[in-house]
Amino acid sequence: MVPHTKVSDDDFRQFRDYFHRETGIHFDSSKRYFVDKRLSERVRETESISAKAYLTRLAQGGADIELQHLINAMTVNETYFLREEYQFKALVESVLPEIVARRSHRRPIRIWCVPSSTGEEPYSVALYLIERWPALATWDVEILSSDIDTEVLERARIGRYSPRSVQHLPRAWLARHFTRCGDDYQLSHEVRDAVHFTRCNLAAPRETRAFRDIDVIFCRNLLIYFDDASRRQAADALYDALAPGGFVMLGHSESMARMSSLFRARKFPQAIVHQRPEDAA
Amino acid sequence: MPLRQPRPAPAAGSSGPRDRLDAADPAERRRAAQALAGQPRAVPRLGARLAIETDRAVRAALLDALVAIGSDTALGAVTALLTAEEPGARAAAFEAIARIEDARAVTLLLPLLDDAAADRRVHGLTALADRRDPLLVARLMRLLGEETDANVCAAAADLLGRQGDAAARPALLRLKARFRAEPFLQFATDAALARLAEA
Amino acid sequence: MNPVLIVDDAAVIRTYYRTILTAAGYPVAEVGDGVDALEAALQQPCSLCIVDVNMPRLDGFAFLEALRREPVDQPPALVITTDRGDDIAGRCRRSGANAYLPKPVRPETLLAQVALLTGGRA
Repeated sequence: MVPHTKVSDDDFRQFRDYFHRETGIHFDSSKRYFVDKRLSERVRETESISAKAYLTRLAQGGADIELQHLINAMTVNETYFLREEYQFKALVESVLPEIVARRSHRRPIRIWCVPSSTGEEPYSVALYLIERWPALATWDVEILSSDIDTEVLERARIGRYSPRSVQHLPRAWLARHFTRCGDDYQLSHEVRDAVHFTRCNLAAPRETRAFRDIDVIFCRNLLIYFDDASRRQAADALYDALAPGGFVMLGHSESMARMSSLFRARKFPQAIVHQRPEDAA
Repeated sequence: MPLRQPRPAPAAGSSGPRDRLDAADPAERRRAAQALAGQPRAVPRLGARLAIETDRAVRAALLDALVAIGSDTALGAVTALLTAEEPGARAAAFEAIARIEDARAVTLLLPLLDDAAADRRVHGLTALADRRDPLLVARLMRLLGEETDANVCAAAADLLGRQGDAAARPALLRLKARFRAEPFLQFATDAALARLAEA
Repeated sequence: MNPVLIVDDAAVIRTYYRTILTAAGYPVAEVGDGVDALEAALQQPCSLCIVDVNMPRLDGFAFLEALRREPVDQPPALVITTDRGDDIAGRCRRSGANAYLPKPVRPETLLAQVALLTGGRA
């Protein structure tokens, strides 16, 4: 057995500050156990002599590939299909009908899921539209999905899921869109091809600038990891990515009211959703 | 089914040198303001636009840029917005001022306490709330002696209760006596006195 | 009875209203700016909003205008402000307020207005 690499208080602080600078993601001391575990994995993996040596090498720069590995290790995210389903309901029953009602020309509807994680969320959007939004017959929809973690993006593109991940999907949806693959479920080509995956760091304005004219953003359970300043910056990036009148869906415990004064809360039967006002005068 | 792969990202996203602060499109004005965030020489242009801008998101970007530049003239343009006619502009100014560090905010905002309009004196005190600074305490003590507007007095008493020490007690007691007929002033000075007693 | 939502950025003013209203038996909730007020008013029905005009992030008028567009049971709204412009009462009305009082407000004036707007005593 490989000995556990010791992560000192000093190492933790150095990691925390460095990681926050690079990604906007803040780990406080309550996440210490998690950080220590993942960090020692990277120290071992890179055959560094200590956590300090590993962090020093990273801080010197030029270690982009290792930084990406570290990001991948620190942002593991457990999710599943139809998590917080009321938001998908809000999407097809309230949000999209409002968007198409005020749209005079047939520009495609653009939906952006960030973070993508292993794909359950963008694919849930795709499945919900196929199964529950009859207007899909007449409207083009583009689904984009981004994550800072390249490894989960690769897994998302493959689209193979455990029984636990798909347990909340109706049986009929499973039968129509998945094939059994040993214990796992393989998502169909058609649905996988409907989502476009890209790497994007929400804390880097240069990277978010490519996203414009989005009608709906799903950004759930990500901003809770950011500190106040990064959160404000991320909220600005989301605002700029949205078309006027576009909506952002946050996680159940998150509130845009705390992060930004640019959005307006809107009440729909299924949920409160935050909107970039159509007219900001 | 019309779920489809996106076309290449639209070029509209990138900001260019051609984005103008006086463009008709608010998105272009906002990008222009964001692009000028690191440029001290742009302060006069940013400040001039801020004075007339009505779009909330553009105004927020102008304020962010000015706070980021942080020079005296830049921050002066930010605090000047407190005297705007439109409550929405003042709301944005309060929000931006909260991000300016204490000592500088106090220096910039104290002159507002001499404004002829009571409204503006109240706005100045609102923007000064929770600032810690000895200059401010001294100014508040002086203000309590001369100010006649009840709302200004209540805001000043509240601030003094948070920041002052036992030396502020007599001024607060005199204020309380002066506004004996005004229940809100009685309440606010009692709250300030109780706070001082705890401190 | 649903709570009276107090919207004012000055904690001392919120405490003043709360003290008066709770003594008269009204349940209250309070927030410090228009953004939080909109979120609160959409999340939980209230029997009345008492709204300041000058607040950080979102002013009282903009809050009321946004609230009035939403499909919720619309609470009456009372604006209490230091603003004294010629047309302040008109501006309040146009933003969707039902009544206006200048600051500072006396307890008996506040209670009378609140009783009137909520349709009786607490």
